[in-house]
Amino acid sequence: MSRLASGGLIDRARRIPFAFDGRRLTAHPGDTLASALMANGVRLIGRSFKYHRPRGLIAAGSEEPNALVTVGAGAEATPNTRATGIEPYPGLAVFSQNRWPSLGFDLMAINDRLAPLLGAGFYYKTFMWPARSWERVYEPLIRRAAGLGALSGARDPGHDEKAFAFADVLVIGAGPAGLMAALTAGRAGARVLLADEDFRMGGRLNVERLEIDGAPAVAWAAAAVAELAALPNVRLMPRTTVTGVYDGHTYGALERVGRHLADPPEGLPRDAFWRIVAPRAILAAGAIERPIAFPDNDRPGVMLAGAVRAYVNRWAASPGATAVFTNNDDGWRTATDLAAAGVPVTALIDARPGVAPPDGPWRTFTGAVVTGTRGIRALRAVTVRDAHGERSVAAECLAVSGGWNPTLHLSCHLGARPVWDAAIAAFTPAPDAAPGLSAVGAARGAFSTRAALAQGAAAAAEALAALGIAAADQAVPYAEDAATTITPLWRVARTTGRAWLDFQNDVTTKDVALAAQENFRSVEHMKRYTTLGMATDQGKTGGVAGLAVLAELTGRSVAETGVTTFRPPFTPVPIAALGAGGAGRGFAPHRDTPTQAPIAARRAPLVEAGLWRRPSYFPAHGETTWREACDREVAMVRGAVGVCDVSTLGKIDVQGEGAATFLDHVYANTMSTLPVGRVRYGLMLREDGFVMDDGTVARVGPTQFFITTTTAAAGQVMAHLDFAAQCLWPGLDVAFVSQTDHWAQIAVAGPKARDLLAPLVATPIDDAALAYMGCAAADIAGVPGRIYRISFSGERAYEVAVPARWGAGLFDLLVERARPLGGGPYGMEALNVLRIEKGLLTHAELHGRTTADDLGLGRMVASAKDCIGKTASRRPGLSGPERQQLVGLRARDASGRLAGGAHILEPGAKAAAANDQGYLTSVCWSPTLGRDIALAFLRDGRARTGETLRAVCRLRGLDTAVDVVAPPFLDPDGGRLRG
Amino acid sequence: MDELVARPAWAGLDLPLSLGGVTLSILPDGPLASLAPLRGQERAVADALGAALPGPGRMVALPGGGRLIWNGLGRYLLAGAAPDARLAGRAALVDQSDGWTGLALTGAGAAVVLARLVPLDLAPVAFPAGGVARSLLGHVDCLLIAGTAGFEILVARSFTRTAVHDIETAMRAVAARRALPQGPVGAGP
Repeated sequence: MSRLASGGLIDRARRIPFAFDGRRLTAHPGDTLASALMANGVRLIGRSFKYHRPRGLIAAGSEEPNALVTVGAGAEATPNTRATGIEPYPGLAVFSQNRWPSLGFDLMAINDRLAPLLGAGFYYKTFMWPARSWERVYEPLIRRAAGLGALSGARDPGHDEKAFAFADVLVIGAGPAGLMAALTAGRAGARVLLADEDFRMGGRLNVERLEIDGAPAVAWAAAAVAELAALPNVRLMPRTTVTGVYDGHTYGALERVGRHLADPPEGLPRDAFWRIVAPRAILAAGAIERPIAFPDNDRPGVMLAGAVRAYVNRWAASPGATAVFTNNDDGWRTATDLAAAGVPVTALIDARPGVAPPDGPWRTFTGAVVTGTRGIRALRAVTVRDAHGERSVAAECLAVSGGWNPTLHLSCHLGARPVWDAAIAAFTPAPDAAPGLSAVGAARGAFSTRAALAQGAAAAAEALAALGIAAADQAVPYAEDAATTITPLWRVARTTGRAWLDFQNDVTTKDVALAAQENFRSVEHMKRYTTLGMATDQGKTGGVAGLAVLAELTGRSVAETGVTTFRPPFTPVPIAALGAGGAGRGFAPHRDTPTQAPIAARRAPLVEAGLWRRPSYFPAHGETTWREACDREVAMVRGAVGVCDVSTLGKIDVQGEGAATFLDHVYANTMSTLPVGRVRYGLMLREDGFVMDDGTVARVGPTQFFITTTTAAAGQVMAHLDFAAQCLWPGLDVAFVSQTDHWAQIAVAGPKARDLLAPLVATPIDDAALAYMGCAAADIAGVPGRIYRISFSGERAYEVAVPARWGAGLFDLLVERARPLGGGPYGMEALNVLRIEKGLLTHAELHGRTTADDLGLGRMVASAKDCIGKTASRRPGLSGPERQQLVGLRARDASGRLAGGAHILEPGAKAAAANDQGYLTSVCWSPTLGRDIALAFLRDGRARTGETLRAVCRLRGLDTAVDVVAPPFLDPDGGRLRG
Repeated sequence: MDELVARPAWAGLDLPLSLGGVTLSILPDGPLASLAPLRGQERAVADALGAALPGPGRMVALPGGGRLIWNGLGRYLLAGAAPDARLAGRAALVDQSDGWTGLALTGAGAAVVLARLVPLDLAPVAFPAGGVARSLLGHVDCLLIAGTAGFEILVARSFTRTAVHDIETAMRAVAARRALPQGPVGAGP
């Protein structure tokens, strides 16, 4: 429990002050938080999830289940971070979790006394009644008592990034197998990406006392990393966990970019989430040691044997007097390594009878097991049972090895199941488990250093051959090649007391036994009943042991019992990293209209229209509500002239000999008969016969058309046209392209619209030259453009188009010249009122469930030609009185309020679904009519003009008498339109 | 007659911008048109342009100046040159001079910056100079052209501010990595 006097890959000359629960401690460069805590004698690091048992370190890598801490405080805090993956920096402050009031004295530890009550299934069985109490009472209480660290609830001030990377060969893990694979592929010139969780590459070579080619393995690893770093075709990604395997040779990876820095440069992301595409990948992720279940095996100080020697060898952090408990030869290494480093080893306990462990300054027990431990917040002694009975052995640390599980998780992400290998008592990756991915070394169940090096080289050579890259044979360095000898031991039999399998979720052998007893015998059922393997560590240490215990209890083999499904991510990925850049404005791109600047200068509030931001209204002096501005703007357009940017409409140029025929196919009405210089309203149907979109079609030349779509459907219509041209009528000579962004288009509407425009347009625009629904090329304020006489307001109106760069200037000019005429700009609110008064449609009505007949446009589906959706639109049930048809509704009283989404009921009918007659889609206060009006869909609506019904909105508490009218509400014969 | 004042898409943006050895700038305005050969006119169009039509992902320099850039199935962008009169009736020509904004991202780390936004392999072996791709820049459709000193990025005019903001954010992140004491490991080739 202290720093050893020498050794370790740490820089003892430099000291890093940090704090754990406010206690000031010191680390050295090269430490992890875990190693620093051990070197500072801190053994109690957290409280367990359910029973609030004192817990300390178990492992040294990302599999660590116990030592979860919160890094930082306040909005910056990151909870549930593994101490084994945190690099101390000056000023680092970490806090223990799931304890109150303090880590040493945790009142919730009462749960441990209640353990007989709190077994698997306890919540399901207990908190059943009354049902409504689950969400309101039980769940909040349980969540408060059980759990991990908590988010602050404050807005996250940090930022992350997402990025893409590409390689010929992705090597996952930089231990002996990974380094050898990367060297082999890198030397051959392949583009290699080597990712490793650790900040120092080398894997087990950095933590074992091994030699490669007669030199220390640490030095070999350092030389390999240096050689790789110097190769221009190799990218090293330390601090990077490959978290998932996806289709198309794509891998997800989380890189910790700035988390280890006291003072990161401005703009540095905290994490980066990478999507890596590599046709070949080599899984060299090593193996994870597994514990053995025996009573009270969760005391702080009971650790994995490989981790204990890692702390001693790599970080010179002593765990104190140590006993070793193993069922395989590899566990012996911990005893010999610790003794060599001067750490007292009190006993070497091997579960196997008749083996001959190495001699050393310790008591050796064979055919012996640990049956219990003593010590509350730190281990003091263990009880050993052999043929001669039980005795107590003093130990501050018990190093346990139950064997090693290949880290094969990634190989299963595309659905493969691992294969049981009895020789090593572990699951190994199935061959060809994921396309292009091969496992090597310990990840494949080959645990010797020599085998790791050889398999790494071989897999890389195979990958190079597959990629067609020539490579020279690589000599495999000489290293230890010990066979794996193990006798499985999952739990110590004939004991009493709780024996932990899943430390993070507090699952014991008794819970698994209860699951089996209650017939949750499938491994997936057992997992969900006990929660084994469902914590943030996903059962990395305890999973296989848990299912092996289930196998024993149900009389099946481990292979028969099988594993639960491994899914991404391998280790937790912060949502902040997956959604990097997506907060606030980053959620979706913004599109600016050409008039964005002049609209901003007029302080118009903006409203979202798809990705666009459009002006809601233009506030005038003295106005306090949007309604005042909207009413004024409507009156202005009806009485004088208004100016409105409509550039957001989708605009598509269509050309070619087949253009007219093509438009006849895609529009319900006929376009081929449209004369040059004329505009026609067009309706597009989907293949299923429902209305897709509407817009205008202008014939600008014999074989050239210019069509507009609604703002909302511009992209959908373009995709639809591409499909129709490429797949349905590939023989037609037609070319079309979006011109949405090229044109600024500005509507000028009102009885004085011509007076405003005429002086600015070089060609005549009187009614003889440019009648309603006419169009022409024209010089507009000196700029070549186009003018269309179309109206979305019911007034005499024009839309003038100029290339986008001129849009802002033209808008300013029109607004300025409108003032003396009593006009000005108008926004979306007024535009909406104007079109509702005129009964014109938007996607509130074209919402995907309405047909042409519903909209009163059935006759637009031309009978003399075919079009997309025509046949389907004739299906029974898509037209007729049984459907809800477009109508206008007027509030009967001027004080009656209407609301969008309100439903239509007969007078006196109960507000129930069975009585529903229809619904309101567009609602406004009509300043022209002096009351609320609406567009609505009403069952058999066209036949019901003159009826009085009710518009009921229970959300807003409205029940308003309405008269059914035929739209439009205003100027039904279009006199204002034509002038 | 009042004289209209042109307002370019990049008005109000602080460009060019240099960070960490990478520079983002606006490409000079020039004529830009969509060009789609009409049925059976591909050869005639090529003759009029004086160059073979480029295949997918490619572009060609035109003898009279300007470039023809592949832009999808049967679609091209004619950049930097006014359409030749001989194209009339042979190709659908549509003015796009105000429809697109051209950005240039240059410097040794340009590909590293774009790796934050573009889901394509931009290494020279996969996307050599002269290569053209339709892709995504963050959430925004773009046309990407590989040059010798960096990339040209064309986005629809209305997306200019978003594109510049996203590129600038990526440039800051990459510049910050370069400022790390141990060098830009992880942001490499």
